[in-house]
Amino acid sequence: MNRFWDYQKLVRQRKSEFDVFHLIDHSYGQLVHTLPAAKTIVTCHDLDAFRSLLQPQTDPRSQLFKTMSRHVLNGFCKAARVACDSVAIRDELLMHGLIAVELLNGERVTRAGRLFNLRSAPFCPQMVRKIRASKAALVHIHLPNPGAVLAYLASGHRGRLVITYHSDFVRQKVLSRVLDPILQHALNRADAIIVSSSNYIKSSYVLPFYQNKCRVIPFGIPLDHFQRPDAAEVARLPHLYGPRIVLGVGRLVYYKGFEHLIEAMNFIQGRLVIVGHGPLHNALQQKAESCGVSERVTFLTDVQDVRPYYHAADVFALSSVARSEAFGIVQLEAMACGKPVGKYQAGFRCTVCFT
Amino acid sequence: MSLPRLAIIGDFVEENWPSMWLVEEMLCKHLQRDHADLFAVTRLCQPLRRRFTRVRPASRHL
Repeated sequence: MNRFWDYQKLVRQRKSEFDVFHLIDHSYGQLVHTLPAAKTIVTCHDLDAFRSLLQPQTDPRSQLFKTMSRHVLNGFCKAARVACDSVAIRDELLMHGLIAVELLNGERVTRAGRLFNLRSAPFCPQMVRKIRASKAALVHIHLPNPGAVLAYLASGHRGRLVITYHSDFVRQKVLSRVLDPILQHALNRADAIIVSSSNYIKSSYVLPFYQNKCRVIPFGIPLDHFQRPDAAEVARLPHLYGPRIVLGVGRLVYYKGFEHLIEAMNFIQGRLVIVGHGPLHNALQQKAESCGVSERVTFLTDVQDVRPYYHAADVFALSSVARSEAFGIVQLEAMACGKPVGKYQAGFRCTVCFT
Repeated sequence: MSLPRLAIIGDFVEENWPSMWLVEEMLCKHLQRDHADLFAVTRLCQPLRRRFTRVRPASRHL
């Protein structure tokens, strides 16, 4: 009664005396209903107060308790800013979609909690409500992302729709049969479709049907950033890896084709340095051993700044072998550092193509 | 020009949450020491009104 009645009364009486409010304890979130939410900050220490709502199986409570918690939680979610005691709490809040807003490069970002992944595609039911609530004049979806397409169509959004089409469905053959009609519905609905190269439009099994909506906008990179490496680090790397460095950069996933690059090292004098991490790390290390080149192949999984590696390398290799690599932005980065690029032509061509 | 007036709203003292007092106290101290030129800070706290604890259980009178 004190929290829900007396405290509420106090803030109602005194709120006109202040411009900004900071609630020290998230479990007093019900006060945000009375305060101007846009000027209120709440510190969140943990999620225990809301556990009965977020994970009812682990914290079963009475209906009355849940109703009160819901009132507190709704108030908490209305606050303009949430200060978290730790990154773990922030991540938990984001995962449950409770605060859902963060600043990234100064822009407000709303995250929708992921319920599950289906063949690497995230499905976020909250996204339906969030698109609807945003009342956005324009929605921009990056594909392939079947969950986002479904959420968009379910939201009933009536404004403009722009789609950036990064890639066809490549590996998900069965899933694509189910999702293609939904994807086509979204593409029919789109006002514009952005594609990174004209070659990709021609070679796609979907895009030629929407050619009149397609606009080619190649990806760009900040040249200055890549032209100013740490000179000491650039000088140090040849001492570590030898005078002839072949560089590969990218996630260690199937479509990057690093296994071909490792095989090719049998014919190349020098050292292959692969910068990146991913699920194929162990498999690629084994591949290097089985090819007898493990002493000349180095995997670097924890590189903070890749620029010195581009500058120290003699040649950059883009070994991508599947259409999932629709553009290969790393080759632009290598070119920005003045390096020759060798790439594999896998039955598809990008605008940026040096073979 | 007057400074933005910030109200820091803490827990009931009677709830006995030392960690919450600590957060409140540290925030106030920090703002008053390092950002006194940005905010006018006031702590708001409602005293707890005991209602039901005044009613003694009937068993005690027996």
